[in-house]
Amino acid sequence: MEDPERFDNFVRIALARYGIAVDDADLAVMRAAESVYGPPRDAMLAADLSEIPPEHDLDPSRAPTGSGAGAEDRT
Amino acid sequence: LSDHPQDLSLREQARAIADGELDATELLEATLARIEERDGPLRSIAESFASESARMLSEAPEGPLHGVPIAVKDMFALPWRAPRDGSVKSPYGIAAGESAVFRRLRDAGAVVVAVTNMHEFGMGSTGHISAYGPCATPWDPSRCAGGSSGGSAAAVGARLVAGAVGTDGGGSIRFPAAYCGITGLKLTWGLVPREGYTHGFASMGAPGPMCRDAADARLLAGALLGHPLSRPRTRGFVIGVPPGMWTDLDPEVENAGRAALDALAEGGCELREVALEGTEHAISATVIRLTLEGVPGAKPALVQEIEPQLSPVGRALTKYQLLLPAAALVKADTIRAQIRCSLAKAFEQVDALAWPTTPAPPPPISDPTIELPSGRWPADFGNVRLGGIANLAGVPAASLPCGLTEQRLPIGLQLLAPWREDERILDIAELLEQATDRRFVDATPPVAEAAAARP
Repeated sequence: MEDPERFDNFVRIALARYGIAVDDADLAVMRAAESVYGPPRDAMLAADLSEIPPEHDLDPSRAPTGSGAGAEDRT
Repeated sequence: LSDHPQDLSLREQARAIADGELDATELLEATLARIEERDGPLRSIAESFASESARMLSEAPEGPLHGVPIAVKDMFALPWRAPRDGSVKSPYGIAAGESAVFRRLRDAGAVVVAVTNMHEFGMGSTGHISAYGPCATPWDPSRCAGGSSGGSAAAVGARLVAGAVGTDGGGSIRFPAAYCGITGLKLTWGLVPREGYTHGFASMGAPGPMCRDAADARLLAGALLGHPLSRPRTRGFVIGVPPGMWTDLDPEVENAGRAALDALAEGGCELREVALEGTEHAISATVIRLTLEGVPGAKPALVQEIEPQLSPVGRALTKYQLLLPAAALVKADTIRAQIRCSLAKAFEQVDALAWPTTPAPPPPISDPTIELPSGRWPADFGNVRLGGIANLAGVPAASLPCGLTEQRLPIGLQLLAPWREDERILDIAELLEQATDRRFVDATPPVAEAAAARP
């Protein structure tokens, strides 16, 4: 994780923008979360996903349009 | 074990009532008594309903679950109780009333006997944070029941009820099913109407049955779906095994999972290695989707009202999630598209996909971290890596009991099937039960053994 003090300052300033106060207990939890989930999030943000076509008509109850999967029972 | 009616399976209870061999009123009273007697160290039940369930029984129509007590997670509106999401109050403002899940259960003749404990706001895979207290697995009350549907899993595992309803937005039926040694099925997204469900706005969560075995899950799933599921097919299936999902596992979990695959192969299934794309980003895509879907759905005034009574973790995370960059959501949805396409391609070759439900057995409530080959991690982090893919895709997925550790802690095997092929998972689950002589679905946790041994 980046310098904890920089992280704390960022959190305080960013949330103050919305009028939300944070205390030391909040910051401790946020630092713990950031140390675990921050690196994979940053890796995803840095990944080149430009070749992956977006799914504009998402319907999680069905296979992606055109995939042909899920429409019939192959067994 | 005993002649207590809650030691019967769900289908045995239903059949015995239908045949006149079991009085539904006696079953209900015995259920309430068992909750009172056995739930203390587990904290699986948030609230039970003696008078409401008796009234529901008196008005119960004929149906596949006529007179059978069922518990539901604290995410569904009941006519007499608003859902609270494992908190003092849900931030989504859903009032008491008839949720779709309630209506489906009622129309099947079931009796809602209790609401079950859950991880606060569904924001965890351990169940150790809740306004109702930490929920424990019946296999060791010092360890987590899992989350967020931990109360439903623990109540079924401890034989308080034979069936319960859970919900699953990132693995929340499957993780506690694994931790409590039961069968839990997340149905295909959207097959159960979403009104009266606190996370009904979300694109990840779906309800599903939590029972001791696949046949009971088939019965309860039929009630939730509003139509009976067909009889199981017995022919062999092609099971896809993605190597990337079998890495960084506790050795006992990996060994039990591979033994289950071997049992399925001996039972006539073909195992086939398949590759999945995008899974390296599944944790982030899942967490970001789940996090960012929740915030806009909450009522700001309710969030402000309940904030002083939230857990320190819940309070901090409700603030932290406001800091996530919007670009992360766009990237997460791109990963989601990639995973959905990759699963669709895989399902052109195989009938189901299999990997462990959780990377490690249930951790202690006092320290919900797990030791993996890569190091020590919060259990949530390890669990979501294995659980989130089914939610991103929308496909049905289940956890099936497949082993016990040396410490007699349960282990789950996860199965995913194509969209709307929910029954196929239960077909394969029944094959696994046969191939293992039912020794894992019929294994009894200590809390039930101890009570059964008392005169």
